[in-house]
Amino acid sequence: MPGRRRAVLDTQIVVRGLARVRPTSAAVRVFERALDGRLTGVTSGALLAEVSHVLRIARSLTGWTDDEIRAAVREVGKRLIVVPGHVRDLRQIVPEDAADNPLFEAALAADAEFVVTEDRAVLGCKRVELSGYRGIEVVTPQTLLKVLSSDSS
Amino acid sequence: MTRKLVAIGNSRGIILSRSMLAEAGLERSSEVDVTVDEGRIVIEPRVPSDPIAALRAKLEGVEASVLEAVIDAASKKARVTTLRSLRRRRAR
Repeated sequence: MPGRRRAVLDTQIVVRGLARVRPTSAAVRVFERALDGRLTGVTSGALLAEVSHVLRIARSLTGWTDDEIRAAVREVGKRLIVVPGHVRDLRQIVPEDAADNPLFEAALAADAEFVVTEDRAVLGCKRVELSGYRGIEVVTPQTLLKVLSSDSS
Repeated sequence: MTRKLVAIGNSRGIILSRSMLAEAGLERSSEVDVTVDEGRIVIEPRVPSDPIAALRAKLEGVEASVLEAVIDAASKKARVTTLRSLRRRRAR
């Protein structure tokens, strides 16, 4: 059985998980697994800034205060691995269509094998081959849950 | 830094500068814990014991589909901002 899987969680997954919008959804289940340590969740400064940004936009609907948002994002930072997310010479390592994506920067910095996202444009990358590094699989939360479930069976 | 206590009704208060509040991560309506510790008055940002549960507790009555739509739209917007900033940083 492989060691604990390591995956970069896209912003939508983290925010959906934080809000627990639909508790049984794959995104929420992936986030919960990262929180309880069954999955090594990875994020970066840039991705956490996005999470804050999204939570702040949702404030008018939810009534969340800045303090609550800050505390929750800080908590996510404690429970996931936070990488600097800035990789030098990224363009020489990552294919052109993925080069500007903070998800791949974080995956590379954390040596993560998965990027989990619901963003169709990112999912279109499927697998990113990196010269000198192991490849990164781009998967939906559903696919990642299947991988985790087959690991544990 | 020396500050004078000011009268607020029957109590006394203290004026804290904006920069001091910012440095402590506080803002206008922040909640703080105030304790007296061996003659010192300590003011600390109030940290909920479970900040994630605190966020979720406020979602009762919020329509899931509406919240999902807001999250999706905001995530796209946030990504555009991130990409712009990453590109600017790399261009430097």
